[in-house]
Amino acid sequence: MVKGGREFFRERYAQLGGEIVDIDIPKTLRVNTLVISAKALVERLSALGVVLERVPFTRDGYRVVKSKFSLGAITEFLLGLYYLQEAAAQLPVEVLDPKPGELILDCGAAPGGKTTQMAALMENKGTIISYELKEHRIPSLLMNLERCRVGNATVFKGDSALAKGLNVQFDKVLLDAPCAGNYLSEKEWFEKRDYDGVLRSSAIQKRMLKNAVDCLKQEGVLIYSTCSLEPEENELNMQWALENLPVRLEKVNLKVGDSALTDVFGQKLDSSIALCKRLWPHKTGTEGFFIAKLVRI
Amino acid sequence: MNLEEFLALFGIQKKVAAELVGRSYFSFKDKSLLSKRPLFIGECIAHLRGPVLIPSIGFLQEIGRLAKHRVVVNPEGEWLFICGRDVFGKSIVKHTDPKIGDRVVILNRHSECIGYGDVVGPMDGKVVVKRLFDIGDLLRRERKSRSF
Repeated sequence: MVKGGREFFRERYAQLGGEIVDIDIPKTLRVNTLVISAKALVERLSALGVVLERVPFTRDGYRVVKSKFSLGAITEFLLGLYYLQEAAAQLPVEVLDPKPGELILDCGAAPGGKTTQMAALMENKGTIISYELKEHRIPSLLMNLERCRVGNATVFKGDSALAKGLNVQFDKVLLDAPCAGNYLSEKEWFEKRDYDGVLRSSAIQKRMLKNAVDCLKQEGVLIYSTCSLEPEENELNMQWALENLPVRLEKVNLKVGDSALTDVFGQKLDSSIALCKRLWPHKTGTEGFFIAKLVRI
Repeated sequence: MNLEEFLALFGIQKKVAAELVGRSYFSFKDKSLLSKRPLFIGECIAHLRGPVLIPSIGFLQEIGRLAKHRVVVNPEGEWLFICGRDVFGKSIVKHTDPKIGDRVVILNRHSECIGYGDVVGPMDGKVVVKRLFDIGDLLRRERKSRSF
């Protein structure tokens, strides 16, 4: 019997303290501070009749309260003044806190939201090495890098495990892992996803975690994130990492989200996993997200 | 056509430090990663499309600042232009008095370069500038790549 469907996931979430809500996630943009200041962008879009509202728990995020036209095709978009990026998706890079001059590994870069965000925080100084395995996702990545005027990224097609061949130790790694997603991230998610798929994702994520840690310098920071609500892709992967990799967890300092779970379907996990953050859509009004901060020891 | 020849079409004499990687020109310092065949490295300058050069969005802004001839269009003309249309005389709010055959950059009211074209008629005529490139090309390129 296939373990899947809305009722299957509803029961799982109920056991974890979550619930399913049918909400419309508001469109959100992130100011591209490489090109324009937040104040100038808000004024400029306001003159076009676009009403924006600051997302209080992000650094450069604004909700689109009102717009009579698509914000994905106007001059301001094409010139890279902003990136359309869901609020929760802006958080992993904020936690990573990339600084000018650092060497950063970006695993699974397409379509480029987080890569362009890192370049902006780094003021285009330092180096981002990005990998993208899926060929069909590469054109949008390259176009977003060009559009947002990124000048410090190098992109390779392939698995991020190839980074080991570069023989460098990265200051920081962003592993925004491929995942099952969440029920707000795509239409008919409940019909498309099942428990076996979650387990397959989890296995891929563990392999990526190991490869990413191998590339990290001692005391270097790795941010692991997914837009999944499934503990097998999140808390249980962190338990596996603590048991199998030279890492510790540190607190994810965010104004939004719950502490991650340390009791998953009766299984007691390491208490430090509570330092990670879990974003339930019914509480945050965002997509589901999980963010962990690992430090190589 | 190399980058210098391309700039010369706009009346710009400038050397550009960029290297052809695949089908695009990039400006970068660290060459150690070139042997790993990157798809993108440093700052994108331009793309080769057959014999034609297509500037990146960033490089286009530099061209917009340095070009000999500029045409500033109103918001309606701007929208039509980024949708791939030519520039009409009624859309023009300012210009540097270019002559027929001159290559001109098209600027919006924020002095941002949104593309370029060749002058084909007097500045108060109907079709004034024949569009050669506009920034909407970026979306059209992406959509084309998705359809394959």
